[in-house]
Amino acid sequence: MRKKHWTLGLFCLLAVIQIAVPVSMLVRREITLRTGKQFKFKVTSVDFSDAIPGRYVALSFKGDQVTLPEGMRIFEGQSVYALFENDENGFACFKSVSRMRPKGGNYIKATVKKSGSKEATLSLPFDRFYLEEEIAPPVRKACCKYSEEKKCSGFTTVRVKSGLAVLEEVYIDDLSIKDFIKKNIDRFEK
Amino acid sequence: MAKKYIQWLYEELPSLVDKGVLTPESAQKLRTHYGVVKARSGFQLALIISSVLGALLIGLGIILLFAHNWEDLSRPTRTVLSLAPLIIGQLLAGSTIWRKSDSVAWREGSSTFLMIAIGAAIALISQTYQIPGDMTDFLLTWILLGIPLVYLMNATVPVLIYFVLLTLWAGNSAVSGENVLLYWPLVALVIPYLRKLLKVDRYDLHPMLILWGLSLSLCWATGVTLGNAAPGLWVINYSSLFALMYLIGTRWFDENARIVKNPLQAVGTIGLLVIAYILSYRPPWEEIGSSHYWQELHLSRFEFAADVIMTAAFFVTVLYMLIRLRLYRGYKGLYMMIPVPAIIAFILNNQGSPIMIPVIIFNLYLIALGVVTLSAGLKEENLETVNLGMLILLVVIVSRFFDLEFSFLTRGIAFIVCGAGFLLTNLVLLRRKKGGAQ
Repeated sequence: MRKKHWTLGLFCLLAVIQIAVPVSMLVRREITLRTGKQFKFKVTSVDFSDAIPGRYVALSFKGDQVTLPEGMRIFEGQSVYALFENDENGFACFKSVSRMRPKGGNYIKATVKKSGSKEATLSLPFDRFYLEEEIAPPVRKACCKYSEEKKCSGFTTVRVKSGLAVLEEVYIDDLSIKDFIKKNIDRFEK
Repeated sequence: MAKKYIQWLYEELPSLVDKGVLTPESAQKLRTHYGVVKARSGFQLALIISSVLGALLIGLGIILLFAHNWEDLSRPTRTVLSLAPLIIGQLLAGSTIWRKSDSVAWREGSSTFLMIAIGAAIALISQTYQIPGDMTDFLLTWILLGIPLVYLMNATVPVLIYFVLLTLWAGNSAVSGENVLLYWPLVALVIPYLRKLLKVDRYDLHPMLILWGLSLSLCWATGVTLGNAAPGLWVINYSSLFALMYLIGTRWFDENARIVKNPLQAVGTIGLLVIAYILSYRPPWEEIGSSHYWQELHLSRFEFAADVIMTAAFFVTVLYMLIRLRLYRGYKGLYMMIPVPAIIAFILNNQGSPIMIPVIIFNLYLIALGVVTLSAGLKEENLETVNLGMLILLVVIVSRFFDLEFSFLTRGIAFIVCGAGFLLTNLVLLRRKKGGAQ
């Protein structure tokens, strides 16, 4: 009987940890959104092709190439920490990569998309922006008609804290994506 | 003692008493000593299987139902639904521990459902809140949250799920360059549970399933976690791994058990024959050698050292057990000795020897395996062993006959020499038999 009590007690502790893990992911995201430092990343294209099936827009970023430190070899698919700073126009640009978590500075965890001897292209963790429920229906109606105009540029705002990056908003032609779609609803509905 | 042996003994006792070999009192003392053997009935097994399958299917079905309407649900609703299966699974598992801890069906079913619910909760919360993360971290979190269930609930199916997730994690870690050597301490977490089951009855269904899962996981994980320090170390790793499996399966399990009941011997035999066959060709050896060193090395000093040390440890363990337990004798010893030609060939290849030398070494090794297996089968009048020997020789013969790496002349001479060797052996055996008869 005593063994049963111990087992149940340990199980309850495990159950608390099992619930705490997904909840802590959520909490960490919210804390990052509220207290993380905001950065702007320039986007080269916003692709609406997956707005219907996946309810998200795919983003391609400018400046996702980074110069590798002397003698560093990395390979495709490898996880790295990408360090970045703001340029003179206020947009984030990548300066370096590291295999180990940096002790300071601004960094995010990224995956190597392509790697050469001196330069690498990164795949960023916030390359998809999921559309809210009220925006998605109009996009659903006419996405295929818009396909030839799908590439347009803008920037994203991302909140970063301790290496965790959370995508806040996507801006196209200086409008939030929600306002951009509302303003261009005719083009979407044709 | 294994249940099947005790049952055999109980079946023999009446005839032994009738023949006067044992007195009725001695027979009763034996029955008292070994106790009642609880045979697992088919009904009990059906209960366990239906419980596990039911839990698995319900868990997966719930995920599919969520997926059907997912995009129409609000974020708070999705959050609740993401955590609901996890909480339900925990309540089921908790009540099993409290009220139904004697029921294998309840333990296996509820722990299986909870194991799946853990992964589903993390994945669904990540998707709902667009939380970035990679597959490696997700799998590692799932593994670490699930493994305590094995011990708290005394359940086997979570171990099998654990092996699947751990093997997937190893593959992902190897690609993303994470610390893939963590696989080994993680797989060792299961060993105390396995040891406990083996002590009770090594031929029971539970340890047998775990050994199958472990053997298959090791087959994949050894290649992705070890041998990265230098090209070709996989030759030593895999030959040592399969030799060790074969050794343990032969030494500590019933050699005459059906293949399903002796997973270590089965996987070890197939594995070492496949490795030997692959190494009897030229292309693998062209990728090995000191000229290939350092070209694609992505390891830290610690990872490099750990890789080399573990490779050496594998090899030394096999050799030590071979010598200490004197298992090198008999035809099975030749199977267990595959790491020896492997390391000889590896060293020669690294020293710049012609590539055909390691190829020839392994061809000779395969021929030797086939010959000794065939001979042993004939001697023991064991048809399965004879067939295995014949199969090995046939595969070598057919492969070399069509192997364009060797010229017609070389193949022709080699075939004639080998054929003459067999005929000579035949002649010697016949003469010995005649001499013995006289």
